[in-house]
Amino acid sequence: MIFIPTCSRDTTTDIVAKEFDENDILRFNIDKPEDFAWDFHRDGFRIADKALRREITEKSLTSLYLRKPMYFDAIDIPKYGSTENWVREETTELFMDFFRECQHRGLVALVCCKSGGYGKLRQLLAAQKYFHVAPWHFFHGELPGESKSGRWVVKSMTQTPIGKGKVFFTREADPATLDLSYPWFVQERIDGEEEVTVVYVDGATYAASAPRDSFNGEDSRKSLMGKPAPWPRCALSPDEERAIKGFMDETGYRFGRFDFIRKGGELWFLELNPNGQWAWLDENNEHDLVSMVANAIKREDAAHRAHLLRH
Amino acid sequence: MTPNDMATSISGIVQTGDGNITASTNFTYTFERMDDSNTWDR
Repeated sequence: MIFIPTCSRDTTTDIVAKEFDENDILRFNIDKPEDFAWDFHRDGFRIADKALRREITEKSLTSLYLRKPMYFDAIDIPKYGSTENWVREETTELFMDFFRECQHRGLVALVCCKSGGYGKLRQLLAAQKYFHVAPWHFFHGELPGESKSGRWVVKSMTQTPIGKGKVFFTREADPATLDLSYPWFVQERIDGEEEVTVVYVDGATYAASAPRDSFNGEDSRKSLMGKPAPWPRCALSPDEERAIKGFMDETGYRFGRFDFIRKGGELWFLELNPNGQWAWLDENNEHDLVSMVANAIKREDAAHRAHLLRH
Repeated sequence: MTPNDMATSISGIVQTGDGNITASTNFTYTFERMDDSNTWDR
C-alpha cells in the first residue's frame, strides 16, 4: 500500500489518486487530524482513516509518495504560541520524521528529499552549466552595482505570507528604490516569447507553454487569480532534453517542475520546484501527464514490493 | 520600497469566477498553482 501524506486542499492529490485502486493507497490529510488515528511505536506503526475504515501498518506499507502535508489556513500565533500551532508543529514533526525514515528504508516513491536540498541559490548556481541564466542577486544593506542599470524583477525565495492577505509575486521594480534594510532577491528581466514549464518524471518530460504577453511580463501565477490561462503542450529540442536531464542528474532529483522563459528560441532557467504542483497542466489527463506520474509511482512501488519480498 | 509595498493582496479571489468555474473551485485552483513551495524538501 502507498502512503500519501498531503492535505485536504491538494487537488493534485485528488487527480492523481484516481489513477490508483483505492485499496492500494492511503491518503493522509495532515490538516484533518479528526479524520485519522495513528500510533507509532517500537514495533511499527498504524495509521487509520476512521471514515473510510482503512488503515496502513508497517506490514502493508510498500511506498510513500510525498504530496503536500501542510496547512493552507494560516493562523495567528501569539508571541508565546498557541495550542493550535503546537498541535500543527508536533504533527508535522512526527510525519516529517516518518518521511525521513521511509527514505532511509528506500520506500520513498519519486519525490525525494535530497541531502542538503537545492533552494533557489543552489539551483541558480547549478543551472548555469545547463541553461541560460539571467544575472541575479540576493542582497541586503548595499545595492549591487550591476543592478543599477537595466530592467529587473523582484522575487521571493519563499511563499511566506507578508500579512493582511498579501503574498509576494514576482514583479518589476527598480532595485534602487528598494529599502536596503530588507533582504532582496532580484533578477534581470527576461523579455522572451513565452513561458515554458517542464514536468520531469524519472527521465521523461512533459512540457507546456503560454505566451509571455499573457502575463504582462510579470508572475504567471497572477493570471490565475481570474480565469486560468491555457498552457498547451509544447515540444523540447533534443539539446533541451539533455540539459534538463543533466541538471536533474546533477541535483539528484527524479521528479520536479521547471519554470523557464523561452527567448530567441532558447530556454532561460527560472527555477525548479522539486515537489511542485503539476496536475493543473492536464487535470483531465487528456495528454497522459497524470498517467505518466502515476505509472512512475507504480513502477517504483512494484520495485519496493519486490525488494520487501526478498528481505 | 519595503516587501509589504511590493506584495499583492490575494483577498477577494473567492469572488472571481466566470460562470464555468465556481468561486470555491477557482480558489482551490489558484492556490494549487501558486503553492510551489517545496514542502519537506527545502
